[in-house]
Amino acid sequence: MSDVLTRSEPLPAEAFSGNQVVIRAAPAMARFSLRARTAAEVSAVLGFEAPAKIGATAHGVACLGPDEWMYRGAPDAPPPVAAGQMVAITEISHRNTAIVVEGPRGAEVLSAGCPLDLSKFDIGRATRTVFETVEIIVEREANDRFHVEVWRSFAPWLWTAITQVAAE
Amino acid sequence: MTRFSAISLIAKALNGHKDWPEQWPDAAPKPAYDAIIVGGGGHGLGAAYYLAKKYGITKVAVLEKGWIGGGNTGRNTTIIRSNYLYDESAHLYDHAVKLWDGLSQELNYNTMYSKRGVMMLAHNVHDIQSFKRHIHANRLNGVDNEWLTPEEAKAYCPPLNISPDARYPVLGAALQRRGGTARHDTVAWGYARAAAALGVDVIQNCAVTGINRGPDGAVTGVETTRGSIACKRIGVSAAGNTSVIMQMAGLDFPLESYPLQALVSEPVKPIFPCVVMSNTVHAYMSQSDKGELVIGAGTDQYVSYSQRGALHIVEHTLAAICEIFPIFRRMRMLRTWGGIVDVTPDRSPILGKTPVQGLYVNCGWGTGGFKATPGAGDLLAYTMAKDEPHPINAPFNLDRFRNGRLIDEAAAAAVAH
Amino acid sequence: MILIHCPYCDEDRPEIEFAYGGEAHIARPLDPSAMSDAEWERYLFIRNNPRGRHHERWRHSHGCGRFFNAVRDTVTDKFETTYKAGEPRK
Repeated sequence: MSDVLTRSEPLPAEAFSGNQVVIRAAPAMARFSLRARTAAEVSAVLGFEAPAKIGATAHGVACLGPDEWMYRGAPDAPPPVAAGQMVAITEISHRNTAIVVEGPRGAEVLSAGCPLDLSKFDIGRATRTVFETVEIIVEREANDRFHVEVWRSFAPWLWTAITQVAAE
Repeated sequence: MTRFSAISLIAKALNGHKDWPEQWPDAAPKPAYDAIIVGGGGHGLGAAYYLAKKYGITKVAVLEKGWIGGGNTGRNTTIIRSNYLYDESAHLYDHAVKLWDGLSQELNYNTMYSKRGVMMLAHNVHDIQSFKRHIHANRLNGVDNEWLTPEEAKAYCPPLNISPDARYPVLGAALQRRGGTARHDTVAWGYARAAAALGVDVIQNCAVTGINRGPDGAVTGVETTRGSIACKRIGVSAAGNTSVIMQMAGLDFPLESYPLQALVSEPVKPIFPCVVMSNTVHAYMSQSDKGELVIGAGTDQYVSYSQRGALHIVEHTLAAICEIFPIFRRMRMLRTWGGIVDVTPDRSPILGKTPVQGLYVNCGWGTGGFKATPGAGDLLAYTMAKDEPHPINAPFNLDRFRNGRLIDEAAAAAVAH
Repeated sequence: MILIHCPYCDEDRPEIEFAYGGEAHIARPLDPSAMSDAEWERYLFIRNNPRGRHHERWRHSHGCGRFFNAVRDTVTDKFETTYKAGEPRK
């Protein structure tokens, strides 16, 4: 007799809504970490142009550092193939999960624990930073929508912290 | 020196405390001394006192760049304990604790040494094993330390939450009953007063700017902001500024200076009877006689001489305090401040001779120097008087970083450093 | 909390995103076994610890992840400059 492993979600299925902000778990997606020396090598692997400037995003790809990109795609997206390029590709689909913070108070809620000046954080920008003591990756997808990537094991804590702030 | 006694206090009280004489003179530098102590904190003033008292060397000056006791002596959390793991450390710190006993009588000055006990909380199996190992090691060295069950810990310190559901459950505690607190300022003042009475010049606002050496390399005196002073023996007890002083003598030291912060709450009625430390959660606390909760925070991550620290360090500490003592969540904090601590690679002090003839050093006490004040002063005085270290401080020499005989007490402190 | 200019992100970022990495420009010896005890002591333990200009390493660990070097005044804590790892001492 074999046991079936079922994946348990670290975040609640139901969204938090209130005080001009909606907080919900992001839908499932594929995530890949790409490490390379240049954006050109990453572009060659992905088949489209990856952003070269740190903090920039394009086509689901965020440049997080001088040698680091994160690519997010549909849940069934196949891993990119390095095909002779000097690019290290690691699937991190299930290492990370994400929380979407949306609404007029979105920036204010995130600012409770994130030291960045989010009023100067342009739409389309992404960066690794912290919320209190937890490392996150923030992307501003729209003026009032933030996508917050977090390691799975920290996610319940982050959810509690953010929703608690939003409730106040 | 007017001796304090019940009679003198009552007599002055009847007169409205109006005519207390100056307790020690604000001395000006003379051209020459037999010995100079650089640094007018408790350690340096203690060394001057013991040089005069025990070894008859009374032509001594203590040079302080600011005001006495204004450095780390006045900026620490006044914890006294000697429950260190290694033999060398246990002997060194217990030498100091033995001197704390009776210090008020010896100096005729109330240092308010209160043996209220220092309790270290065990939150996990590793803590239990580590603390029991410390307890056994301490007892073999004649240092009192005992294991308490959670119930015994709660009986000793009622505000403790020993519920198994606590975020950091208390699984037991190590208690050193002789440990406790003292009033930091009075230690500096008591030593200054007693040393001055024996002929020592306590000179404030006098920063050392150079160390003079003769053709044979031995020290011949110091340059200061108040002129040159000749002497054959210099004891440097300058805490966070030791590297700077030592470079004046051409010596590079294995030290890094970091800001360490402490803070106090608003005063409340007596609620916290002892010192409680939690190494795992990085928090420790006691209550002063004024009623303030006295809390020690961690060091900043970077080297600095700024005598202030970052707010997020304090925030981290207070978060830890709230985890362990939820009853203090609504306490307001009154003041925070920082001191510059000199940290050695093995977190043990350096107390002994240097490669320069006539130059002695007492440094590297890191985040835990206050408890050692009388012992450090006594041993620096011995080393300077005899030109050789006492057996207690002999292992704490500078050579250990070359020959590898480190005394690795990195886990001895309650806060990270 | 101080703001630190990351030379890779080219932006001032809060200190809690960074990890301090000690004194900069200390090269690891290529052949430790050929060194004297005094030289090994100097490499392992002796630090400048100056009161004033200090060359130090930082890592933007909760950011772009890169090590870089900085010159900071240890009395005021003000950064004079930061520069990428591998660039000559400033």
